[in-house]
Amino acid sequence: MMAMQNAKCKMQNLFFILILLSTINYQLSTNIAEAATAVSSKELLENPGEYDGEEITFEGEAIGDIMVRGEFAWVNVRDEHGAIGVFCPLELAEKIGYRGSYGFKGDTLSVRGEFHRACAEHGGDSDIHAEKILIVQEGGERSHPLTSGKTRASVILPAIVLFLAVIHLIVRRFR
Amino acid sequence: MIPRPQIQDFKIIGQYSGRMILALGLLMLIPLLVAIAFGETAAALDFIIGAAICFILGYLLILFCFTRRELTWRHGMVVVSLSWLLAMFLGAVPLYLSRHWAGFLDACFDAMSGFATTGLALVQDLDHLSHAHNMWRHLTMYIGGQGIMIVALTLLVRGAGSALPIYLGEAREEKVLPNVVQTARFIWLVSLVYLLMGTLALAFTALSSGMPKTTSFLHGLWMAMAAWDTGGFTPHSQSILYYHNFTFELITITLMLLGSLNFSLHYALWAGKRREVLRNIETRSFFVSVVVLFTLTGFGLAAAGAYPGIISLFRKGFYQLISAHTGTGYMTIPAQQFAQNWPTLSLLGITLAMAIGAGACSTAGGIKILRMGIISHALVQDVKRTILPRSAVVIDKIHHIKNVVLSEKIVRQAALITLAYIFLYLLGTLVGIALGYPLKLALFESVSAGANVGLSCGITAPSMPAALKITYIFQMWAGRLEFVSVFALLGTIFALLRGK
Repeated sequence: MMAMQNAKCKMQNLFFILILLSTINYQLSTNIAEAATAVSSKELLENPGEYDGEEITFEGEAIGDIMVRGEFAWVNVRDEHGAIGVFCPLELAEKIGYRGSYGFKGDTLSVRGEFHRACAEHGGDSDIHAEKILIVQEGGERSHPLTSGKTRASVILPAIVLFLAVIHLIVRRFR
Repeated sequence: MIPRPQIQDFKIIGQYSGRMILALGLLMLIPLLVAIAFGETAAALDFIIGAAICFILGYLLILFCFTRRELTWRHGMVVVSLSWLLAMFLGAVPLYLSRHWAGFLDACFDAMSGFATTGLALVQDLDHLSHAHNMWRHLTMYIGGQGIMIVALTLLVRGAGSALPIYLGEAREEKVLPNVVQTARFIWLVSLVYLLMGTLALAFTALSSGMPKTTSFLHGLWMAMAAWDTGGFTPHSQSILYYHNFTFELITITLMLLGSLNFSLHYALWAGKRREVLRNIETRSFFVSVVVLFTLTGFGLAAAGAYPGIISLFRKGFYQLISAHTGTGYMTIPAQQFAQNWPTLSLLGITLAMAIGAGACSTAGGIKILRMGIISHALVQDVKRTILPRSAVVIDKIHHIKNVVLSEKIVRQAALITLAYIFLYLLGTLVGIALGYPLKLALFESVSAGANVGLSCGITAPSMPAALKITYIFQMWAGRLEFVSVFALLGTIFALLRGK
């Protein structure tokens, strides 16, 4: 009886592991599929007719501010070629922690949604109406190290200015 | 025989150029303060170095070029054209040091684009640029819109006598008030009032669309600077499209239109002469031109099915047309869309609007609507003369602030400058074609540079050939100064080499 119960338990565990593995596999394959079909902004903006109204995946850095429109929001996402406005539910936009600016590198997002060459809802803008936003890579602070050459120059040059200003004042008095 | 310039001539030119450079150094302290306020240390160093170089060069020129001689017309013209080139080189220093520009030539390109209120840009990774550098980019437009030398005149030059040739050299044909210094002050007053109003309106709009307070204020200020001065720089790479906001578009359209009005017209309005708007040849011609060119642009877009529905067609087509006609260069579409989705007819409408430009003695570039009005009137009168009997006397009058009888001299001057602009547009087009760009795109970008507009169909990029960058820099410089002072500088160089 005990042995039968153990075998049943093992079978249940095996079944559970199989379901878990297949779920992970499905999730991974979906992500891989999404990553594989990611379209660049260059491709989207240079061949907009080809993608108009299509479900696409666009990957890039969230930049600037989130602009709230009621229960929705605009997020601007930029890859190496250019930026596109992403219109999404506010709850998706609120997940974005870092947005690109001088001080920060924004979160890298994978945006899944419908691309519009000229969106009728938004006055003809080229945009993406997002259904899903994944944070592929978290952003963070950007450092701006000071080079020794710049630091030296910003001390020496003002000193020369001061010297010339004094000379100028003296010369002006004698003229 | 052209007389060779003497050492005294160089001293006068050096003295005034030195003062301009000092004024430029003083203005660099504004972005320096911004960098300090926002804790942007690396950016602060860029402006300390930039301002210091200006002060050193300025003081050296003032010390070594000391003279008591007064500025003549010829000197004034040379000072203006030379000062604009010096401003480009010096204004590019802090930009180049930020490493957001691929090289010094690219930084010079953007500096000239800023001063000439063009708006074409080679900046890389604009979305990560510091507040200080953005402040400087937009400030160059504000300085250039009023006129670099007008700024220097207000800050560091005494006496109206020396001011007149400088004022006229910066393509200001009309004195709004009898005295040039008073005129310069009026230009500043109008500019500051509209800057304040524009900043408040745009900042409030940005704030109400969810942007933080500081960003809203800075964006409001920068966008108002660039819209009023018909410049076109923006703090983000998507231009106006970044904001996804119709109110923002309406406010910038209003500012662009105000910036494109002749300062004489502004003065008339300030003096309560509202009927002047309805009677003035510039406003009338501008209205006709906008209607005709929008019909052309809109018809092309509708026929090509570029936008879904009349509202989005009007919103995109009209915004781009006003941006082109006022010489601003703000865009609510990606640059690629001009090349990919806009039909040739619509591109022609936009190109013509850019080429014509807006009010004379405004911050806008291009041939200017006043000259087009004068030439059109003269053409109609010539046709009348051929139809009417020989004994008939045809007197052609236009109304611009007052009634003016069109003399042959006025018509010839307008025609000559128009011709010079056409040659300038052709120059950039030919260089573009020679470097492998298609005709319609090369023409579009060349007119945009020469008329100081800033709309781009995608040619202007850091990867474009250096020869084209230099050509566009020349076009922006010559177009903004309306040739006369550029010819004076070239004449002086010629006299130096071949004169006796």
